[in-house]
Parts: sequence; C-alpha cells; structure tokens
Amino acid sequence: MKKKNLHILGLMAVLIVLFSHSVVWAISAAVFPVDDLSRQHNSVDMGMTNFLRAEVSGKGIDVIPQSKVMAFMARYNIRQLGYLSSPVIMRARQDLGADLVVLASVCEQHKKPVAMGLTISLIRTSDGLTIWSNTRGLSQLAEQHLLGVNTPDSLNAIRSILAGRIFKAWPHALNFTAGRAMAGAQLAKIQEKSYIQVESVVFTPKFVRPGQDVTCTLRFHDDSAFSRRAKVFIKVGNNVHLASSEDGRFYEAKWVGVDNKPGKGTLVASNESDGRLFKSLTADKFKDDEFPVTLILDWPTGQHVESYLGSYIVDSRPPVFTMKLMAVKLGNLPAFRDKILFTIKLKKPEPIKKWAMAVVDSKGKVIMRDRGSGDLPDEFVWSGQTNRNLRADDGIYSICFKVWDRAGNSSDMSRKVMLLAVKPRVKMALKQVGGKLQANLRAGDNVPVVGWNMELWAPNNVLLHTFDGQSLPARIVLPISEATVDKEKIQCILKVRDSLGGTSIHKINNLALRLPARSKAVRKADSAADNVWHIDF
Amino acid sequence: MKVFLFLLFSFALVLSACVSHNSPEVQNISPPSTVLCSIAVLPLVNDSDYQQGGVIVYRIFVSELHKVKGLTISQEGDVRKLYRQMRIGPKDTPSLDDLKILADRLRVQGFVRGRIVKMREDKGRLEARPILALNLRMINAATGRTMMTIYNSRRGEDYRSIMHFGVVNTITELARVVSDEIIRQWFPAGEVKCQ
Repeated sequence: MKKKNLHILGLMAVLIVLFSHSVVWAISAAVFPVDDLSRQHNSVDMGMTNFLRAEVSGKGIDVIPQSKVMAFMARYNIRQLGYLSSPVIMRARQDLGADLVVLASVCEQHKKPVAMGLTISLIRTSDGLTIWSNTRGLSQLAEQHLLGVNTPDSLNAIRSILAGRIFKAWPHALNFTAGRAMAGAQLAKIQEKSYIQVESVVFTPKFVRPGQDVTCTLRFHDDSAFSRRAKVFIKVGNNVHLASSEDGRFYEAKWVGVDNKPGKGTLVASNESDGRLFKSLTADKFKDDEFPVTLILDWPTGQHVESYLGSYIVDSRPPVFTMKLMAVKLGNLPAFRDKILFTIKLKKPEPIKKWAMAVVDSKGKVIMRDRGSGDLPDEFVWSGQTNRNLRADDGIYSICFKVWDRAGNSSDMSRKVMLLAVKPRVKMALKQVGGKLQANLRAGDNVPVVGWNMELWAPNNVLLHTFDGQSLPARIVLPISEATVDKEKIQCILKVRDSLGGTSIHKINNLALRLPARSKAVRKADSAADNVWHIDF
Repeated sequence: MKVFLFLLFSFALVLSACVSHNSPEVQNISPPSTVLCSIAVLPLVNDSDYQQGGVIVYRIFVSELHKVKGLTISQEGDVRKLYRQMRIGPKDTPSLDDLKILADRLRVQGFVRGRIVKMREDKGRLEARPILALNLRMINAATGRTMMTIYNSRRGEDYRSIMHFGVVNTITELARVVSDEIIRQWFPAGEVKCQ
C-alpha cells in the first residue's frame, strides 16, 4: 500500500512539474503594425500585420491582442512604424507582458509582375536584443512553372509563399532565447542602464576663455531613473561637479572652464547628503584644449553609470591675422585714387565669430564703419567714401580691423593709407629748337606716370601724328613748324595714366596758344577756354 | 556530325548565360585584426531616386547583419532617437565628437555608415531588372577612423545561372544578396568571438 501511494505521489509530482513548466515557458509576442515602405512614408499594412499575427500564432506563441498593442503605442506616443527604441521594447515586457516583439516592414509590393519583399525581426524584450531576423523578396517571374501551372499571379499567393520561406527559418529554441530565464537582478541592471535617456545637452558657451564659467544643461527624457533617487554628476577631467535640478528633468552644473591660475587644485563639489567630497586629483594645467565631459549617475543601490556627453573647448589665444593692402606705395604709404582692396588672413586658421572695420581720418574721426559675422570675406574694398556715400577728401586715413574668435578673444590691427582723389596732372611746354618745335611733358604731381599718349589733329579731323611713352618727363620733337602751327589750328589730345590707376585726358584745341612767342596774358585767357580735362577712372 | 555541332552550339549558348560573380570592391584601411563585438548601423544616405531606398536597404542590411553570430547590433530606434536628440540630420555626417557620444550612449565599438549610390528597378510587363550599388564603411568608434570600406554594385542579371534561373527579380532580394556579400567580406567566418 505504501509503495502504491509513493507511486501516485511521484506521478503527481511529475505532472505538477510538467504543468508548471508549461505555464512558465508559454511565450508571448507583440506583433506591431507592419511598416509599408512601398508606399508613402510611415504607411501601415494592416493586412500583412494580421497575416503575421496568424503566422506567429501558428508557431505556438501567444500573440498579444491588437487592441492592447495599439493602446501601448498610443501610451508611448509611437508614431513611426518599423522600429522601436530599447526602452520602449522593454516597456512592452512590463506593460504588455510580451516576451518578444515582432517588427516587420514591407520593402516592396508590385502588381505587374506580382512581387513582394518583406523583412521581419524578432526582438527579446528582456534586453532589447534582436534574436532572429529574416528578409526575402519574391517575384512571380522566379516562380514560373512548366506551362504556367500553379504560377502565383496575385499578391495574396506571393505573400503566402514568401511567408512560408521566411518562417521556414523561424528559431525553434525560443524557450531558451526569449529571455524568460534571465535573472531578476540582471534584468534590473540592463533596464537601469537603458533608462539613461539624455534628451539634450547644451554647453554654454561651447568655446570659453580661461577663467570663464561653463554651464552644462541636461535634459533627461525619462525621469523614472531619478524617481529612484539617482544623483547626477558632471565629470570634467578629474573634477566632478554635482548637477542640481528643480524638476528632476532639467539638470544644471556650472564650473570654471579652466582656471587661469595654473598649478592649483580646486575643490569643485561636495555632496551634502552622504558627505562625499570630490576634489581634483591633479592640478589643472592651463592650456588650450578640448575638455571631454562625462555624465555620472549614482544610485543609492550602488549602481554607477558613466556616459560621455560631449566636450567644450578652451581657447586663450586671440586670432592672429595679417592685413595685406593691394595698393602702390607712395613714399611709405599705400596710396589709391578710386578704391583700395585689402585681405585679412589668419595666421592659424580658425572659425571667426565676428569682425568689424573702421576708417579713421587724421583727426581721429571715424568716417566709415562696417561689420559682419561668421567667416571673413575673401577681400575687403574701401571706395574712398564715407558712410554717407560722400567722397572723402585727399589725405591720410587709418583702416582699422578687429576680429573675434568663437571664445570671444579679439585682436585688432590698423594700417595707414593715402587717398588721392585728384586726377593725374601733366604739364606741357612748347619751345623752338633748331627750327623745329619741341614739346616738354612732365608730371603735375609726385604720382609716377606709367603711360601717356599724345595725338595731333588737323582742323579737318585728320590725324597728323601720334606719340606715346611709359614715363615722364619726356621730350618730343614735333615734325611740324611754328608757322604751320600758327597758320592752322592744330589740336592736341594728351592722355595720361598713373601708377594708381588714374587716367586723365588733356585736350588743347589750339596748339599755337602754347607757343612761347604768345604773351602770358593771351595764353592765360585762351587756355581757360581751350583746355579741357576729363577724368576717366 | 550536324547534331553534334548543334548540341555543342546549344551548350555554348547555355554557358554564355552563366555570368561570373565578381567580388565586391573592398578596401581595408586598418588591420582587420580589430574585432568589433557591438556595432550600430547609422542611417544610410540615399543618393538614388528610389523612394525610401535608404530605409529599405538599412533594414535589410541590419537583418542580414544579425546573422553574424556573437555580434550585437543597436536597435534602429535607438540610433534614430539619438540622431534626433543630437540634432543630426539623416543626410548629415556626424562629427568625431558626435561619433564618440553615439558610441558611448549606444555602447558600441563600431559603426557602419554609407550611402546608396544607385538603386533602381527597371520593370516591364514580364521582366524586372533591379540594380543596386552600395558604398559602406566600417568605423572604429574608439578612434573614429575608417577600418574598411566597400563598394558593391550589382544587377539582378549578375546572378543568372542557367536560362532564367538564378536571376534576382526584386530589389529586396538584390539588397539582401548585396548585403550578404558585404557582410561575408567583413566577417568571413560568419561570427565574432567576443566574451
């Protein structure tokens, strides 16, 4: 009797174990709506979704009702199909009780010839890892049979064949890979790590000067980690700063970007609650560099997570630049008549935040200003005008230029230039030499002449002679006699170009007026009427 | 004799249909001994006119990449979320600092990024000729340097074995085969040995 009872008890124990085993290992899956990539962006294919639900269910898996999946999507504001982030996948385990998440996308769908492509993946909710995936594309062209018998000619037929091929590789050992057996502590650790969702990180400013404060503002997406009282620290080099928060979502920490007193350790933060004290381990060395910033989360449970946030740059050096004026020098000063071009080149190229220029006259009055932001233009031009578009007077001016780099370091430079707004002048005198006339040409000012041209015209508009040269003074023996000049009214046109680019045309309507025999009074009276100057810049 | 010649000619025709499969163009930049156990595939830039080509090839490539044993791949949702948080556009190239942040948050050792150079499907009533050209690179997250680059350009016709057999008729299948070829070049053993 005892032996029989023992047998019954043993049988019952085996049945209980088997029963409990079957209950524990019943796997559930949430099939999310299928993303149809063959249509517009973010289109859903509910037909394929239902088809997949049936297929997954046919594998002996409990499929979470569609209404629950939809409610879950609404709760977590899931608007994009075809993918999920790890925290949401893990939430599916908690909220839906799903061991697996099925995500699929229709890659293509055609009616002529009938074709379809599908990619599907199976994700474990315990750690958010994909444990299986498969992709297949199928066209009726590849399924041509003899005499066209049983050739799939509809999307439904292709879909069935396609699904059959995809699910042929369905993993069989899901009981072991679905993550049900994962230990609770291990699971909590994974989830705790995955909940570090930094929505945004802002360093203000991103480029700092030594001694300037840097503020790091963090925004966390999910505050669940902080409901477990995680402490937030910002680590810069060896310094750790406690970040403060008012709402548990925005955290802020402030520190000196780099101390401008080298070789001194600094006390940077203290934690009031547990009395821990953070201190720089080594003295900060003052140098321009990129400083990496790391987020540290400390939970009371002892969990410690670090995550790289980004970096800020310390820049102590002002931008060094050169100013190159494209002008001819008169004496020691670059001179110009019409406009002056100049370029600014940084000795060590770096992004520029802004620039400003000013033109100052000899009395110290600013007559023109300009400014800009961002990169420097290739060249600058001052057209010798004031801000009121008035022509500036002849004189010496200073062109002042200032640039600021991204950290706010600035440097400036000024160069003197000479503005000569008048036309090139030339003086001509005629004299009798050996029975012939000789013209003496010389420059009217100290700007070198680089080219001249003289034409003699008869009254009937016939060109008699031309002469040219590249420098002044010049002597020209005219192949006409004084008698001819006196008798006919010969016209002289003199063109001059100087080294500053200025050009002028001097027209003498009657050359006879320049003869030395004429009285000064007559020449003066006549030349006023006859001589015409043209400025041609 | 005539029959023999006819058979010989027919055989030659059949053989001519068999196209040799050229290997994709691979360039190793750093020693391939560097083992990456966890990687993230960054959004692919779609330079073709194929609608949603970037997403299609991305998902197919990741799906094939999951077949490499021992390799951990970040979820597309995590990558996209970080791109959004860091304000990196899908066509933007992440900076070195961005890659460092991405690597740290995603806890990966490497990245795959690249562009779809060509993606097209020439369709007739009774034919479909898919074309796909991909340029992908693998980046070491620790250094930000490119470890390997690969360019693979294929047509569905390239896989013809005999008559119409073997021809790839869908862009999905071609993307799968092209991805598989790339992955086999990068992971010849089909697995990574990580602890």
